[in-house]
This record gives sequence, structure tokens and C-alpha cells, in this order.
Amino acid sequence: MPRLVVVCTLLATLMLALVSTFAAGAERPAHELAPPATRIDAADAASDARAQGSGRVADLIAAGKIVVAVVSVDRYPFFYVDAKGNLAGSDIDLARGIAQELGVELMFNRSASTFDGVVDLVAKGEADIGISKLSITLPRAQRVRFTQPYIELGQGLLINRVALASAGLSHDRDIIEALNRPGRRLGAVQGTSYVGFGHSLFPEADLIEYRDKQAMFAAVLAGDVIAVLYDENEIKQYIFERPDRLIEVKVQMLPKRTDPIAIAVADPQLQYWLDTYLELKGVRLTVNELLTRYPRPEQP
Amino acid sequence: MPPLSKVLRSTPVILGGAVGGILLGVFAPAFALHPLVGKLGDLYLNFLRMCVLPIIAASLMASLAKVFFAGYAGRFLGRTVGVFALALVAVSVLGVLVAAIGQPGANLSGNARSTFGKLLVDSITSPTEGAVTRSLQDVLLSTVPSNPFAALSEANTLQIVFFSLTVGVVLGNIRMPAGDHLVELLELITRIFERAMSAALLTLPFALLVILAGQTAQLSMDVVGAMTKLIGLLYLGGALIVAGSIAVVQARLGIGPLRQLQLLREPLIVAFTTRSSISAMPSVLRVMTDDFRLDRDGVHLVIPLAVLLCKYSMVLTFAVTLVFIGQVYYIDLGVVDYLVIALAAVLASLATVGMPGLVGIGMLALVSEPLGLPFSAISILILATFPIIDPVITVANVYLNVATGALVAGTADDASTEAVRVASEVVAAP
Repeated sequence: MPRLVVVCTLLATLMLALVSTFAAGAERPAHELAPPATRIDAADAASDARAQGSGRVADLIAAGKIVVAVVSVDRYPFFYVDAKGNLAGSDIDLARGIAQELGVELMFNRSASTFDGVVDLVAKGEADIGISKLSITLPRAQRVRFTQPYIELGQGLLINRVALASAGLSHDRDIIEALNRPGRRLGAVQGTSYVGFGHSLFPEADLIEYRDKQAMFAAVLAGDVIAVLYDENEIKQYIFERPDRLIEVKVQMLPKRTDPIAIAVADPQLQYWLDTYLELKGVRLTVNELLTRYPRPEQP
Repeated sequence: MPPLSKVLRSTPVILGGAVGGILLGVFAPAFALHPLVGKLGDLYLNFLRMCVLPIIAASLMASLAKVFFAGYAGRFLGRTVGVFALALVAVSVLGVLVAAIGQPGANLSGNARSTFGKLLVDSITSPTEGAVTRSLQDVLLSTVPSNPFAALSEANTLQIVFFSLTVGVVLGNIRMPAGDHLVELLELITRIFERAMSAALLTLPFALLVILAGQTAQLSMDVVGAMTKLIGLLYLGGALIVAGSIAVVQARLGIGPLRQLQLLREPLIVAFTTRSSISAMPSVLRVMTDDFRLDRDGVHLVIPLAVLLCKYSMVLTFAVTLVFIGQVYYIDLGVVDYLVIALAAVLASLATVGMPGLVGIGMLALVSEPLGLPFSAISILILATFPIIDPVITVANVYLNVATGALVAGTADDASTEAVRVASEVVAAP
């Protein structure tokens, strides 16, 4: 009889242990989903601020408006003037969604002519946030905060299929290595970061610089160069304009070369709110989606 | 009132199933693309595959052993290789000629080009546009299985063929009384699965309904419209192969074209609808032994080999496609280029042995690159049109298998006289 009691006790203990393990296991994912430490601090700060009735988000709502800085030069499909003369694009729609969620009026500040100018406006407090196809960079991060990226732009190659095949390279595993040979002709647009990037990626090859992207794309289509180097957005725009070009050329995105695009903001509490907004609304865009969703404005 | 089994095997009912499937695919795509419908179709195809694998292994072993018993193995295998090589080259040359004369890729309309372009846009998202590739060398070097049972369970056809042929050769030369029994047992296995497959054909009308409904619903009519000339030329190539095969069978066996089509009705319908020569093989074996009165052992040796090794439909597609690529990209092709393409198409088809048709298309990359022909964009176009090309070229493939089989295998009477002659020589020798 005492033996039975011992067995029962042991069994009961085992059950309890199992149940508690499972319960802990069930809780774990919730912990994993929680934002990283810095954001938790911001959250605490936010709730404190809310309790005191102050803080940047509360100020914004009280003032009833949010100022969004956007570069003055159009960048389709992020921000541009559409056929009807209205400001349109994915960055504009993102700003509209944020203003609507906060219940405030949306105002655009387009006084900056460069991307760094937008960062300046945000750092000086002349704009609340910057949504302007802004790349996250270390120098910029010294002056403003960035939210999580809402889109990552790849960098890629546009390759002439015939030139590639006649060079005997069609299914070389590593296209970068295959193109990095003396005498292979590649192209990039003069004055862009892709010239330097091309030299560092393909030191052995001949890099031809073209005065603008039209000239560069024409050269690869004609087979004057095997491939050209540019950003995902420009390459895909060129293809989406006339998909039949894909018979002549192919697109190859470069692995591990991406450009994260995010919202610039000065205030930590507003940054936390924006991150939460991007997370909960599932804002995660791709270039293909943007080019399909936003009709290309007529070329001037 | 004829028995139900006869009704289910009648041409009108089978064609009714096929037409019904196509109509469902066109007018009720939601139903046709329902996962359950697809799974029902797979059920049927899987049953065929289940039966085919044992048939291939057992019939190769048994018939090769018997050819050795009868003592004419050397000449028989020599003739087989010769006829296969000739047929492969002939199909390849035909494909090159059809494409060179028909010019399917020259002066594509702007419409066709933009349809192609839209199809290719989807391919940008995936990092690799190409397909699986392996070289002919890899294929040949992987012929010998380290584990024959693994080869069987993975359906690695080339390894199964090698294993079965080895067993057949040794079995045919071993001087043990039990050898005969084993051969009989293997023949029994072959017959069991042939019977099972034959019974499965009773459900063919229903299987066609579900299989064709799904295939039709998936087909992109835009692409088909843009590729009409290429599709037409591949159909023409298929028709010419069938016509040539009919002539060969008539010359060899004296059976008229109409009678041939009547006798081969079942395997041809199976080939057309399942798009699989292997699925049609058991009915081919039955027709060639029972109706064409060809030597059973010869047929059971040569037909599985032909079906597995000689992919005439691939050779035709490859030859036409390579010329097509040259035309699309304005690459001047001379006589030497055409000859190289004809040879390359044969080699690439050998590299696809043991691969299902769609995957096999990727093998074209092997030969197009050395020829300087850019392949990856066109391969996507061919894949998109393959469902509509495949039924016709599979029928051509099966018919040419029948014709080469008829050339190689002796008639039942030949075989017995041959055996008698060899036996008398053996007796006379000492």
C-alpha cells in the first residue's frame, strides 16, 4: 500500500512537471515576437508619457498635423506627379496611411532637393518624418533614427542573352566570377555609385561608363556590353515598360546586395509608433508589386 | 447489350471521356483545378507507374536471358543498337529540316514577342532562370547502381535497365536447370502486371475526364496563340514520324495502315491522353505479340529499351527548338550548324533518359551553350506550350517505338526457325 502511494506521488509530480514545461513552451513564442530591448524601453517611455499626457505622438495629435519631408525631384514609383497632376506613389500612400491612422492632417515638405536634405529637415525638426525612398546609411543614422525597412531594393545585372551565350557563359554557376575576366565589357551610368561598385565587384573586366541610363540600356540591348549594373527599381522599370525585352536580356539580382529603405524620424516614441504601424499593417513592399500597382506617368 | 467492360474500352466512350475533360477544363476551370480532381488523376497515373516498373525489370531480364538461351543475342543486340541509332538521327534531321524550312522563329510579331515577355516577367522573381542540368557524362557514369533496390525504389530507370540487363545476360549464360524456372517466374511477373494494367484501362474514360480537365484549365491560351507556328511544325514533325513508322510496319509485316491504326488504337489513345510512352508500353507489348505476331522475347526486350532510351519526342522537340532559338535571335545558321544541332539534339535526348518530359527540357541547356544559342528564355516558352505539344509527339514516339521494334524483333515463326537452326549448328559443331 505505501508503495502505491509513492508511485502515485511520483506520477503526479511527473505530470505537473510535464504540464508546466508545456505551458512554458506555449508562452515562448510570445516572447520571441516581442520587439527587441530598445523598443521595449521606448514602449515603457511611451506608456509613461501617455500617462502624463505628453510626448511627441500626443503632441502631434494635439497639433492635428504631421509634416512629411519628400525630395523635390520625382522618383517613380515612390513619389511622383501623376497624369492628373496629383502627388502619387508608394511613399505618398504610406504617408497617407500613417496620417489617417493618427487622425491628423498630412502636409508634405518638398523643399529638400537631395536625400540628405530630407534627413536634415527631420534632424532639425522642420519635418516630423521623412518618407522619401531613404536608404539606411551609417552617416544618416548618426543624425536621425530609422524605422524597420519597408522595402529592400536589390542591385542587379541586366545581361544580354546572346552575348552571354556566345561567350559560353550561359549556365556558369557564379555569374559574377564569370563576368570578372579581362576583355569582358560591362556598363554603368557615369556619376552613380555603380561605377565604383562595378570596379570593386569586377576588377578584371572593362567597365564602360555611359552618360545616362537610356544610353546604357540601349548598349546592353544591342549587345555592345555583356551586362550592365544598376538598381532593381531602374532595371525592372525598363523591363516592365516593354516585357518583350526579356527575350533579348535577362535580369539577375545580385545576392546579398540590398539597399534597405526606411522612414527617417527624430523622436524615439514616434519611431516606436511607426515601427509598430509597419509591423501590424504588414507593410513590406517589393519592386514588382510597386511597378504593377502604380501606372507609369507619361514621360515628359 | 454488350458487356460493360467492352463498352468502357470502346473508342467512343474513351474519346467521350477525353472531350468531356477538355470541356470541363475550358468551362469549369474552378472544378478542374480543384486539388481533389488532380489527386484522382494522379491515382490513375500512379497505378500505371506501379505496374510499369516491375514489367520493365522482369521483361528485360527474362527476354534477354531467353535470347541468350536461343543463341542469337549478339546479332540481336547489334541490330537493336543500329536501328535505334538510325531512328534517333533520322528524327533529329527531320526536326532540323522542318524548322529550317518552316522558320517558326523568324519575324515574330510584336504581339507574340510581348506575350513571351509577359511570360518571362514571372521568371525574374526566381533567382535562377535555368533548369536542372547534368552532363551526358554524368548520366553515363551514374548508370551502375550501387544499390539495385534503391534504384528500384527511386525509379531510377537507367540504373534499373543496367541491373536488369546484367541479370539477363548472366541468367542467359548460366548452365543451371533452375535458370529456366526463374525465367518462367519473371515472365509470370510481367504477365501479372500487364493484366493489372489492362484492367486499369477500364477506368481510362474517367481518368481522362479528370486528367484532361486539369491540364486544359492550366493551359495559357495566349502563349499557345503566340506559338502557333512552332506548335504546328512540331505537329507536322510528329505526323511525318507516324507516317514513316506506318510505312516501315507495312513493309515489314504487310499490315495496311488502317488495320495498323485499328490494332494500335489502345496504346495510341493511352499515349495521347496520358502523354507518357511508358504508360502505353504494356498495350504496345500486347498488340505486337498478339496481333502483329512478332516474337514475344524480341518484343519484350526491344520495346522496353526503346521506350526508355530512345526519346524520339525529345529529339524532335530539341532539334526544332534549337533552330527556333537561332531564328529568334537572328543567329545565322549554316549547313554545318544544322548538322551539329542534329547531333546535339540526339545527345541531349540521351541525357534526359530517366527524366520526366518537363524536367528533360532543361537538358537543352547542355547543348545550346556550346552552340552559342541563348536557351533559358526560350525554354520557358517551350515549357508553357509543352502540354499542347506533348500528346502529339508522344503518339509519334510510341509509333516509332513500334516500328523500330518490328524491325528488330523477328516474327514468331522467324524466332522458332532461328532457334532450330542455332540448335542444329550446336549439335553439328563437334
